[in-house]
Amino acid sequence: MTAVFAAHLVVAVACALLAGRLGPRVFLVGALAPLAAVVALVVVTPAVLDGTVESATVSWVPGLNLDFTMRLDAFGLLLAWLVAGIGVMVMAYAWQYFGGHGTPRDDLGRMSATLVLFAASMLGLVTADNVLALFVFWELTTVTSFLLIGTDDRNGAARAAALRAALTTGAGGLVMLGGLVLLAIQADTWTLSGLAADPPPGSLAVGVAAACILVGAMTKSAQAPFHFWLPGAMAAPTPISAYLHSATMVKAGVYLVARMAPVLAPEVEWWRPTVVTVGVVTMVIGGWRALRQNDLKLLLAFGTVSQLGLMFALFGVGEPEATAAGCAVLLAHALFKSALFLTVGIIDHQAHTRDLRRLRGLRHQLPVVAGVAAVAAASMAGIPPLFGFVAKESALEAFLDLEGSALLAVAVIVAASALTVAYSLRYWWGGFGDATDSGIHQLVGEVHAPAPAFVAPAVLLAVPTVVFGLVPSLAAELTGPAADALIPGSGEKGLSLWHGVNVALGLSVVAVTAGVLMFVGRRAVARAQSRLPRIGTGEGAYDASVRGANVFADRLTGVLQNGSLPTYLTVILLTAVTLPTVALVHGGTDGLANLVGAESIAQVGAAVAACVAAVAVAVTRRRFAAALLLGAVGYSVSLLFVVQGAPDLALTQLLIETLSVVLFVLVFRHLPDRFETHRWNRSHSVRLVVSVLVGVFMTGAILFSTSARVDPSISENFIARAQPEAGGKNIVNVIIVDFRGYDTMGEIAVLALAALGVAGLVAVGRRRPDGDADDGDADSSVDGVVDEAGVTA
Amino acid sequence: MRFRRSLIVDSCVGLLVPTALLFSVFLLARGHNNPGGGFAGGLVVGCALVLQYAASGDPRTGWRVPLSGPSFIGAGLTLAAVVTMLPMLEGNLFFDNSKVSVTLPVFDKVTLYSVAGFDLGVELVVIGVVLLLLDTLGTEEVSS
Repeated sequence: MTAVFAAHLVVAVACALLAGRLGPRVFLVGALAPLAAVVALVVVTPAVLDGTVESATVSWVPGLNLDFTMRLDAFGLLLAWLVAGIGVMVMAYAWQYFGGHGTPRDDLGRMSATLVLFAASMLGLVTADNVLALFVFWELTTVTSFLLIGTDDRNGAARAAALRAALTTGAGGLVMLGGLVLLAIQADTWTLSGLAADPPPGSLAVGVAAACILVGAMTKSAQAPFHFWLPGAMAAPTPISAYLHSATMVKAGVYLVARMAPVLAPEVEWWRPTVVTVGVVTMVIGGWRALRQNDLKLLLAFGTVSQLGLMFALFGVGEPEATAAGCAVLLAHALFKSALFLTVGIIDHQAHTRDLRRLRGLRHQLPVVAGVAAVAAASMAGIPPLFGFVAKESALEAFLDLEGSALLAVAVIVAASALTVAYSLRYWWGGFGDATDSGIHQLVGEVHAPAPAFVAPAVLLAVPTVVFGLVPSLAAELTGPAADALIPGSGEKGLSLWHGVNVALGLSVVAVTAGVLMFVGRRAVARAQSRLPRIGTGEGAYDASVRGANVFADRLTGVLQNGSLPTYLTVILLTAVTLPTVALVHGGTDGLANLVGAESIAQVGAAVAACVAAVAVAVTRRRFAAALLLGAVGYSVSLLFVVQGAPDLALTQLLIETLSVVLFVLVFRHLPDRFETHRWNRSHSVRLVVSVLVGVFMTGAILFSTSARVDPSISENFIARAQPEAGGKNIVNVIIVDFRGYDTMGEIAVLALAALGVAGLVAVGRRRPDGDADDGDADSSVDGVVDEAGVTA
Repeated sequence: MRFRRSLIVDSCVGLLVPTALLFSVFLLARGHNNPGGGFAGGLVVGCALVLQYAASGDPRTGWRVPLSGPSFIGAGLTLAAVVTMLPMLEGNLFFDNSKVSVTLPVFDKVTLYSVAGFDLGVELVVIGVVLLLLDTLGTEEVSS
């Protein structure tokens, strides 16, 4: 299993490196990665379907319970097949899609590599057993999705869509992380398999966890009211939309609900009604808005939203029959929707438009594509004998068999199915039929026939739709064990094309009839739609919250960062004084009893020297002298360290002081020699008060804190462990490089960044034509001009 | 105005800088058991660079390859990151301390700890920072 991930990483690097030489053929290299996954899946599939669970563990941070525990059960297998199988098709398709006419693109390497990395993340997501690893892969798909939606990074709309998708799903992911951690703590296990085996009893904490997890799943799977990012994601090139935003990534939320429903539905009473409501409402909103679209791709995107709602509702129930139906719908949708997207891509590529008002008679010019589209659209609409029909029948039956108020849900699903039929027809007729009702738009003329290799992936994806429809037991081989893996025993019923004349069949007939009627009367429907207020536009809320955050940040920054250095210092120093003083007063002041005066004359000498130098810094009028005197304070302190027997500190202090004096001097030479003298004013008084406060406070705080020790010093522990564990006698060094090595790592990174930042600021200051008189830069830029010739030394 | 060099300062610095560099290596090597370590070692080299700069106006006087500050910083951070990951190869945790004992002719038995490499990374970063600051703050000669 690990080898498959390694293969993806290698292929991703290869794609990035080879794109320049191979052009669009780089996607064939990229196809090697999902192909490797397919091969691996072929090997393990028989065993996994028999109930064996493949697993592997790579430990990462055991202290945080973060292990890459990978576990491939039959449900993970179903999704892994989608990721790998559709991955191969989409890669092969992309080779043709990005080939041919136009100027060669320079972003193919980035795109193919990111696509491969996405495939790896998605495989990780569906095989992760550890919940934290699940989150890591979840967010990796968010990141790769962000990069892929923004492929056309010179297009502002694409960038905005990418950001919108990333912010929405990323924020949901963070909420989900909170829920997962809470749930894991309640259940005392960090694996999905552990949760499934031993669900935590219901409690407030589990309820909150369930709500958080649900929010994460809803954002990822574009459920209302978070569905708005998915249509925007159609800014990505079509292969990416087909792969990420219909077949795989958007199913991550459904996947999570499927995993969690058996755990949470029995324990959290609001879970089932809420998830089912979210699902069916999303179904209707998606279907309704799909009917309004003129862009074929957007039409399909809203269709995806609608279908995801059905899956959400089915898996959310957490009952055997609904879960089995959910697995079937999931497979059916991935197959027909990816095929549909590929056909839209072909239309777009050949006719240079996806606007169904401009397309006419393409079924004569692209007969194969039209055929594939007809099969896939019919499957989407639930027409027998296709797999979509089988799946939708099983879904309807599952809801009909549920106890309680599932009938309302059934009614809504039937209504949404009617919408599905209507937009399926709208899609096919708009793309391939005769343009009947658009006199005003420029129609496309002759289109060239696409290359066979361009059409092949779409055909291959449509084949299982037909085969699984005619022989549903084949599909049940895969979906049955998948459902079993979620809820044992749920896959027994199997799938079948013909259930006899029953309620579900009747409802299907009703839905298809209503859908066809809606299509026939589409002018009336469109008029009705335009008269009704637009429903379910979550964009407004998103835009408002993003704008609000920006405005708030602006105002807050305006208050906090007003640009005055003295104000900053005053705020920082007063805070430093106030907060600990409160604690000090609150905590009492006993403990001063064991204060000692000086222990040796050397201590007194060093302290006096430091004090004299400090006073001199404040009194002197010359900058240069001030810098030197400040250094003298530091030297005196390091002398104190020597006296106290801390050679390491003393050495470091001495060196630091030396370097800082030099750097001070380097900066000060651009400033006037003497400090400016001002008349005494109010700000001076404020500063005086603040400095006295800080001085008194620091003295007091140190006196109290050194004598107020209650627990033994941590240094005892370090001293005891330094030699045996880290093999060093110098405890200071052992602390720096070993015990607190993480800190040091962070510190050197900060040091490096600060230096680079200073270098950048100086460079910017130097580039200014002539200094604004806000600080000493005015001098530096003048000097810069004068000294251009003098640097050669 | 051209930078005016002083023979006396030049000669003194010529003696001091190699000594300082040697001292820095000494600090780095003994750091694990005695006062010293990568940070102090890096600061000593930094001071040597400052001396060099004060004497000749260029901290890199006598360098065959005039490496930039950022390249030291990058090398240091990379080294530190790599060294902290090395124990993972043996199946240990990130930032674990692994050691190798070798017997050398003069020094007898020497035990090397992987954290020594981390310390060297710290030293390189400090050197790079000083060099970068000298380059950015010290490039404009004061015309006096």
